[in-house]
Amino acid sequence: MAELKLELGRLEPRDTVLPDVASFSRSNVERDLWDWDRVVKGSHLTNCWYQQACNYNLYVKDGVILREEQAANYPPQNDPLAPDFNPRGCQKGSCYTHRLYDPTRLKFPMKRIGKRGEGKWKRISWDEALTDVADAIIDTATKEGPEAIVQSGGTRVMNVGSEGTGPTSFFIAVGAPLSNVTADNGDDHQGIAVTLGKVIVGDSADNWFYSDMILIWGGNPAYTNIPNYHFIAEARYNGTKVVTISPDYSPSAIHSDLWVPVNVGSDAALGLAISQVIIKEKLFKESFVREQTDMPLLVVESTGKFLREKDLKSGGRQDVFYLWDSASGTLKEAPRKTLALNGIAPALNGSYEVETLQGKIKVKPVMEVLARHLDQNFTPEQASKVTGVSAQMIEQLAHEIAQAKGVVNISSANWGKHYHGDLIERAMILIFALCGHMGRKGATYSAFPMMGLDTSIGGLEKRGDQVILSAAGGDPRFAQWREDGYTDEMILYEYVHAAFESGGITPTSLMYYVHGGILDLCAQHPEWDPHMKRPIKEYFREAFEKKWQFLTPGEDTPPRVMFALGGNFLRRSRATNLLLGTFLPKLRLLISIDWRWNATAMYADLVLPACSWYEKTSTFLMGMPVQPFVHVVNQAAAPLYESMGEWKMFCLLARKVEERAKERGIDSYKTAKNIEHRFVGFEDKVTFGGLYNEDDEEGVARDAFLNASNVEQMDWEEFKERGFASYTGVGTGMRSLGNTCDIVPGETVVPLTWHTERKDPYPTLTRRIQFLIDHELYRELGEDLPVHKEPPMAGGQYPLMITGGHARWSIHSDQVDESLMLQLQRGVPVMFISAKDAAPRGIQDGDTIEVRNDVASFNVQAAVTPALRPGQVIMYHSWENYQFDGWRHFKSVMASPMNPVELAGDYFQIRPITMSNYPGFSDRGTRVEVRKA
Amino acid sequence: METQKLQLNGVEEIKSGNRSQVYALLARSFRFPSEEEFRSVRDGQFASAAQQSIATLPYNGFKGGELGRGLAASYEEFQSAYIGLFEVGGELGPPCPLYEGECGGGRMKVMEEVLRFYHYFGLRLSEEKRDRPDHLASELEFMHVLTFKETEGLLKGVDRSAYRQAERDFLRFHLSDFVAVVANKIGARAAPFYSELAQLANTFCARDLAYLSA
Repeated sequence: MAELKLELGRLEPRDTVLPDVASFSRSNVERDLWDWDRVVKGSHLTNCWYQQACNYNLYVKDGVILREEQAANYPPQNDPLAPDFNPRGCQKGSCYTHRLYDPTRLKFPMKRIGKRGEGKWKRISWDEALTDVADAIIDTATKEGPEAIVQSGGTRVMNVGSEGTGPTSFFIAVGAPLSNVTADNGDDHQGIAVTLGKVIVGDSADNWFYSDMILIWGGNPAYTNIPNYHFIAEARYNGTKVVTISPDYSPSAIHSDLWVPVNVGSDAALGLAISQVIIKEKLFKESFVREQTDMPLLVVESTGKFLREKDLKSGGRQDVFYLWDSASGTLKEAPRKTLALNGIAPALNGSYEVETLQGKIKVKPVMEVLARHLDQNFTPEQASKVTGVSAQMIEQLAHEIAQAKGVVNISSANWGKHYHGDLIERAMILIFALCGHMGRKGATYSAFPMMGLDTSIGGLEKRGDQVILSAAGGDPRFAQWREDGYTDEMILYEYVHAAFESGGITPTSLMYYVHGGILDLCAQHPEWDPHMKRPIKEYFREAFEKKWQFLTPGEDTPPRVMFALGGNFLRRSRATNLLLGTFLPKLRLLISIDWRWNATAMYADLVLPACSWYEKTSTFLMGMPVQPFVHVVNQAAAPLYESMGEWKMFCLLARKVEERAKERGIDSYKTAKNIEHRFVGFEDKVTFGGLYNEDDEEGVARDAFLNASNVEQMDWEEFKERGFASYTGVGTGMRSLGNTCDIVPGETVVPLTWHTERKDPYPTLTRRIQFLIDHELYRELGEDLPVHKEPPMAGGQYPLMITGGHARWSIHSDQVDESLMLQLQRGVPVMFISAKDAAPRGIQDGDTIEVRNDVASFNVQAAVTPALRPGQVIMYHSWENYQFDGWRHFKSVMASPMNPVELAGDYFQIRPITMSNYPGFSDRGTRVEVRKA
Repeated sequence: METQKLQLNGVEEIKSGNRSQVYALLARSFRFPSEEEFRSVRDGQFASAAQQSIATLPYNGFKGGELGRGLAASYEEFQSAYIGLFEVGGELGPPCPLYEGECGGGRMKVMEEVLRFYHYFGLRLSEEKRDRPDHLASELEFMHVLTFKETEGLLKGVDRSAYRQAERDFLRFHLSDFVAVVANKIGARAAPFYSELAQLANTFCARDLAYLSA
């Protein structure tokens, strides 16, 4: 007799016993294909930026998410003639179900047992993994200090959803620096930061519908703004002209009314020549220029610097500036607490004599100086030679832009990836300011679109108004700030500047420059940037000696433990292979936290599986004005395998750190500033005193939503059911206050109206949109006024210039190896190359080519196209290292020289702050040569 | 649910039960290996158990082989090999993913149809294991359940045609081709133990389908 036992391991009965089935036909299975248990609302907790986020219905059966579809339940607009936001979604979001079941999912905690990157792993328990991490944290905090515990930088978890609260809370409790990754991504807007005093400025997509001209300049919305692209198409039916300025006949140029091809990196010259025409032909909007910009402020002719109170009075201030009142013919102090001129009619041209402490001197308005500068250097004819755009076309653009009632721009995050991108942005915004295409419906300049929940969660997230209240009650500087006319915006920025100075927030780009050897690489090649007057390391040292810049951990303390979460730094960072050899060896432990095996995970020591976006409950802390809604993500299914949400993960890690410290008899450690941190109570610090336990990820999301001051009020369950809520204001939070405008649901978001209508001053030194930057470093580099400079020969003396852009088929690397997406393209990394460059090199479409420069080389498939400008090659974003031969990543050739002007500081708006004013990475314009491999 | 057991007496019952036993054995061995299971493979107990079940089936003519007996590897190396084959990889994921949806037919379509097969027979995915429905181990386990119920019907003397029909359809439309692809992929990599195991699974499924279709 034999025994047969029913062995169930992966399946289980739906009821207490297995039923006896009397009949079966395959049609029984097929008939049920449209049957599901429930439908929940979900979205995608990725950083798809301008297009973020979209409301989806998720269909669930027996714990498996079968499919998703666009919910398309956004409300109609107040203007019945205006298009609404429905349906929202793109091909990446519409196949995320497919993606989350991908075999590249991270399933279990894994520990490396071979060399880094060798691909040999063993599965370990969560307890073992957390113990390893906890011990590394304890060892590092006690030996090198918590500053040596760093994050790689990323935006996907840390900033996007409420589940990022866990890691943020954890790193604050450790005393480790929080990372700011913006300029590391190349997403910084340094030109806008110095001009407006902020970078968070963005309109809603329906605003484009009301413009006369959509100027796509530095963007490619056909690829990167799929859910909102319909507004561009619909605007054309409303009479809007779409103009694309780009070197290549880009996917967005194809759909434009006018394409203006321009040489790579010459956009500043184009912008300045357009401005030259506008000023010369007096096409500018005088009232706007006088009131909103620094154009009427007086400049000392002999120095080129602003005339300041200190020039006129003993003990006078550095930040009081002057106008020449044409009406009275006298010198007037420029208003500081308002932009309103209060009867002053400031001159925009002419030369005037004023009495100073040094005697009589000549002064001129900035406009006069700027006009001469443009007349001398940037006439259409001069710019034509630089840009490749005809003088006639430059004049036509100037006329059309100036005569339009309203122009909007779509520029995305392109310019931060250019070495001289700040100059390009300054030139672009000059055009908009001259024409007054700012702060009006259908007339806006957008830089870094962002709008977040102004909320409080536990002890971590504080609403902006709470910060202001707290400052009013406890900061002795507060009364002085208010007396001096500081707006809420300015006061909040002071606190963020302070966080950089204290090391609480640190730029990851600087970390890789210094600890990853990229600065050394730049220093070896001073010939790349002929405009640099001194060695880059001299600029660098000066910046730190003068406390213009800050880095944690500092040069003498290498990072020892790194958490790679919310990003994929070994795919993202430039000079990739240099980092592998220089940065990784410094790490005692590299921990990758993700839901998929990305490149960074492949090189990690320990990988911890996070659950997918449909497997946790969250709400978006980071939103976008482009679509002014906050979305919810409902947990549609239990996390696959042993993955878990980041909130739970970091609660458990905090508990383990406390446990291990107790077991090892270690009580405390000190920071570099001698502040003692105790391990006792560590978990409580992360969970806000136990306010949310490790299983209460939904509680964090719920409170983030319910405590928000700037969204329409509704019950949490209603929000979960509906999937989104409208923003009702920008709030007073750091993530959106820069927009400085009111928000009315159903109406367009028009940034900067608090300046243009309420006359609030800008957060700049001059309290105005500022085009003259009389900082000593800007003056040394000849960039005090907007200029054009040729891109450096980054990578060496090679004829081709790489450009790029976000891909159509992936959000960063989230879908870069997604099989469905790969089927829609060639399925392998490609480099686009002009047919005119390919032919003399004997390269045909589909050939494998070697791309090389003085820094590195890689192989890639050539996509030969007539749409590219000769001399330009394009590598679109996000291919993973392992998709290239020998894992030689395309960013390895991107040397990313440090631009010394980005080291400037101690100049009111030019101080390191979240998202700007510190050196960032560039890759556009990297020089290479190619040949058939 | 209490563990169900069947006492098999006659030859027909044993033959039927052994089909179920082989499916269970294969299902277990395609899961991530525990240290105990590794020792069972290395020490030959697994090969012996497989051979014993294979010996008495409704069809004859194939052998299990050595199936890792005497394997010269540590547990860490053994699991690392499993991970390298089935769980981690470079471009496009692991070299031999053990999911049917990766072997043709469309991931979501396959997953959904397999899920609905399970559902029809009163099963769902384990809430503890939390894997995709189309993992090879799950599909083999499903066949183990169907053949178990068929054997139970044989013992009770009731109509078994629903189970035999489902077995045939599930093999024909899912498992048989799937396991052939897996055997082909693993065979090309000459992976110790798993090459033989996949070949055994492929042969067994093919024979079982032929038997059911006869």
